[in-house]
Amino acid sequence: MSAWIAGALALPAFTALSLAMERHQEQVFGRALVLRASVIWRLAGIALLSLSLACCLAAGWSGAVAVTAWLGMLSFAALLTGWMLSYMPRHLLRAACAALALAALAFISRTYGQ
Amino acid sequence: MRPDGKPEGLRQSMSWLHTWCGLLLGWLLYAVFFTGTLSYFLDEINDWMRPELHRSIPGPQTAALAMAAMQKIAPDATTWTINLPGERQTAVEASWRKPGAAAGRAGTQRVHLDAGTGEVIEPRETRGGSFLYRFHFELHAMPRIWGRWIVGIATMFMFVAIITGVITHKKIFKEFFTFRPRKGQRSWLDAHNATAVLALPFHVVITFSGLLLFMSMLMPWGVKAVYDGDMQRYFAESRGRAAGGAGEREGAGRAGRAQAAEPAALASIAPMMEIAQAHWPERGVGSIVVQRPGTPQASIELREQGARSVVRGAAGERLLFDGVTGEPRNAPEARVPSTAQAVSGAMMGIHLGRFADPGLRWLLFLSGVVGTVMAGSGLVLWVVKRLPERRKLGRTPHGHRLVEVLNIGAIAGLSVATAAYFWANRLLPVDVAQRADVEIRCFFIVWGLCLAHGLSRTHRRAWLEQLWLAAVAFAALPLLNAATGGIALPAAMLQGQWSVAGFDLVALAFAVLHGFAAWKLGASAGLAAAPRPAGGAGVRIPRPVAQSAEKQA
Repeated sequence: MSAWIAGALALPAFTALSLAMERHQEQVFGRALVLRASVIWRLAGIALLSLSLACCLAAGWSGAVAVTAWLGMLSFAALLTGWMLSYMPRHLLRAACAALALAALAFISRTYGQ
Repeated sequence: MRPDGKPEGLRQSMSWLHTWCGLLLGWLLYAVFFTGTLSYFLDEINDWMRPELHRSIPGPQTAALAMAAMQKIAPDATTWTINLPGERQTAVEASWRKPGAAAGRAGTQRVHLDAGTGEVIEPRETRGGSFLYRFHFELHAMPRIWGRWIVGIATMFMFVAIITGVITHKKIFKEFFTFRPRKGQRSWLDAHNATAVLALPFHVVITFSGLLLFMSMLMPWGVKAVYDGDMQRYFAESRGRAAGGAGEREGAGRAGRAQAAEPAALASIAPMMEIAQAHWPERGVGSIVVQRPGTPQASIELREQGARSVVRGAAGERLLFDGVTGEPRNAPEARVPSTAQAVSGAMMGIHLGRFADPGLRWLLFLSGVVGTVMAGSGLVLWVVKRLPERRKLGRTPHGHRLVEVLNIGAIAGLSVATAAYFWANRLLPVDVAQRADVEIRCFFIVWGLCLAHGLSRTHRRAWLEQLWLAAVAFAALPLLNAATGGIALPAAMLQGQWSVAGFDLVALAFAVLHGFAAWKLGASAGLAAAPRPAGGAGVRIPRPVAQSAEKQA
């Protein structure tokens, strides 16, 4: 379960990191954001990435496997982010929010479901 | 190397190194990546290529049936090893060693058993996925050690290409998520960068661990100095065995046999399986190892399914029982590897994908696909980048044409050849002499034909035709499977034979990828209102429009 949460968190993490960059702000919002907003997006991205790593480490793998799995998930989340930015930038934020909601739901059901 | 003799910057010289390392070894590395990626599903390919095994459907009685079968087949063996079916294997794979058998693989006899009846199955002769797996690190039709040296050196150059690539890539963070479609060379560069940078951790780990696996061959001096050239002793010690001792288990087996004790019947396996199932509710039992069956010293060891940990050499969980009474015994303590052993073991373990987790295996497989795309897009980029130069020249230099043809053969041709290998597996009569070799010959003949085809057609046409051919050949594999004795895809899915169903599904995915690439390339031809005729050897310069990066999966 933790592994799925980690994977689901990787997409919003990279979305946030991409939205800290001017080029992608223009793609998604149609304009560049102020510096302060960019910094907030970047911090959010870093926080989500750390959270994703924590989830991977908690997934019951040994350390080496957990980090490998995490890096693998990051690769695909980043590829997906880049792909959506090129072909459907307007949907990126929606997809990221959906993934975040899924991760939250999974977390809640894992914590309180048992 | 600037022609004007001015000193060049670090980035330029790195770019030069990256381009030429990448090009010269790119074709080989592409093939290594491609076949290596497929090797993550070695067991599944092996199962698919032996359709005789598809009718074996595991049930609750499988372990007992297998034990009974072994009692009949090899009652006087020193050891039985019974691999039970699982997600990646549909039949029972049993092997045994006779007393006094030669050490290692040579002394081991193997058989496939029907998991539903315990009968022996005689599958067709094929190398299966092992051919692709072996090809990815020792090539074919040459002494093994040559192949390993060639791939080892190519791996070193790959490492060089990764490092120089990172240095060359100016805006590695700024263009982290950037892909600009339909922009010709720009798109190819973006695709090459994206597949390289985003999966960089995977590329570094897989290349570096590949080098580690070759380490004792490429750089034997340290070991030679310390062990006085005794490589066997080094390997034995690095696996944690006492020097000179054959595996403790084999030694014990022989000693027990020498006493030639009274025969004693083995205890029933069913209660042990229940205990083990309770121990490992998620994964269940993967294999059963019986020592000295039929003697009073008999022992039965159950190993957890897929418990092979990522650290190579570290033992997974196991349960030990007395073979006659069926009472549990204390298993010998697992050895704790040293840190250096653990790190190098983990690296190699990751390279080999030695853990059960199917999710992780898929992740590695897909990363391998990304790596394959990276190698392929780099090769295509070399051609695309030189198009302006060619236009100015008004003809295609022979060197460029050579690269084009080799690209087609190495990328599209390899897909066609791989599909042809699977087709040959099913279409060749079962009783052909040296069947396994004939299958492999089919692979190489088709690959050669693809190369020749690339020579005889124009650049774009050759790409299109081979991509479509690969798409059709992969798409028809599930049908071929059902028509030639294999289990049909829907039935396989219903019965949970995921090794076979997974192969069929991946074949369909490959068909879609190749079809998509061909369709994109064809569509870009449609955009070109008037094809630009070019001079030279009747070569038409393709419009450098991106065929999507996903193409060379």
